[in-house]
Amino acid sequence: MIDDSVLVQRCLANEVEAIRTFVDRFQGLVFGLCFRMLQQREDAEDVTQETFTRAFRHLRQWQPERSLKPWVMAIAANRCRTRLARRLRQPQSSGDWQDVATTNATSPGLAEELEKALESLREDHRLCFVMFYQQELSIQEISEALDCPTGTVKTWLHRARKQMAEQLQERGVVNRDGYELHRF
Amino acid sequence: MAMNCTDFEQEWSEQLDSTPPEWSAAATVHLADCADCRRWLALQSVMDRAIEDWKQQPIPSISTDRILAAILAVQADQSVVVARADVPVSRPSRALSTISASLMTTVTAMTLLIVGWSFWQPDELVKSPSVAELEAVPEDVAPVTATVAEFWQDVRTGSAHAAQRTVQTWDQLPTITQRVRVTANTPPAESNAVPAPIEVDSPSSPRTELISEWSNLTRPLGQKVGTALQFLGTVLPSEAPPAS
Repeated sequence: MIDDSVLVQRCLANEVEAIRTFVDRFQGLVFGLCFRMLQQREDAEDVTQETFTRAFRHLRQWQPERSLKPWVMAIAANRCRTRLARRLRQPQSSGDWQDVATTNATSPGLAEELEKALESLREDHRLCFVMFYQQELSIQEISEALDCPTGTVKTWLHRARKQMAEQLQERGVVNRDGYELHRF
Repeated sequence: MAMNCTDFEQEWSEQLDSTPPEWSAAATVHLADCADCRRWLALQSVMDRAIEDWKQQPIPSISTDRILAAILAVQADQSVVVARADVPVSRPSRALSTISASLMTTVTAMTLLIVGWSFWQPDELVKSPSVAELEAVPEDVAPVTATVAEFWQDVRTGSAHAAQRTVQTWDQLPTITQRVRVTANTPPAESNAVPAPIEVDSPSSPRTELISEWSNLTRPLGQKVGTALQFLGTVLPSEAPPAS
């Protein structure tokens, strides 16, 4: 696998193959984050594209001593925040953008219940949760991507899990003793 | 020291990225004694299972070519911008452009007024000796229009800094306080449009001093021309325009 700094240098030299490698390396992470955050495929595709174009526009600003992955994910997180803020200004009907929730609406399992609980988290907590559990970034990488201390990342993850667990209890998915209720 | 529930949760939180968690002796003792924490830990196990299920949900993929095309389009735009930036043309700042445009508009309007007035005024006034003296522009004085054109050319082709320096130089020019009187024929009383007489202190060399009271010219056109000339006399004292 090509080293980050070598890859960036080749991208800056406009080598198409290097650019393709760059995209291949991060598009899964970026699109996964965007899809989980925005819950709508088209929006996630648009924001993924924005993330990469922005990353290449500012690629010279990347510092080789930093890891490339958190840098790209930071751009993706910011683009997601911007898109979510725009949604708040231009509210759509839920049917327009909830691709995730409708995947298995007839028999919601634990995963769907968790997805619903995820929606209720505040943005920072949700970004943190998705990056850690879905994208499997380390605490350190999330700390760099979200530009906050590692302690804050752990606190946010803890609060996210706690809030989601409370929601699962309120919705009757889990009982007070912490055991999953088999409703199906 | 015995651990409480908050400490237990804190220790669990510290080990989020280590699976399975390695409990301290204090945490193990607390867990054995605390039913609430055992319930809480069971809930976390359900959460872990829910997260695993959630992670297994398929996420659609995105076309690499779409992203690649967008990136290449952006890079093409950037190379055009870079190519433009290579051209060694320095553009004046927006403020300087505004000032220059305002100045050009003023000078153009003034020039049109002067030309219009020269066509309009009666022959006897033009032919009057004092005004004729005013028309005798020394050879070494450049016409105002040429000077303004030169300044404008500097603004357009020179650096913004050079143009700003020119404007600053104008600001530093001394204020003209001399009053030059030009003796002219008295215009016909029945015509309001004829310029009023202008008094001159030294008729033999009217161009050596500047007229500061241009507003004494006949209204309404004369007033306008006078105002314009007064402005020009202030900013270009050595190149006052002819009065006709």
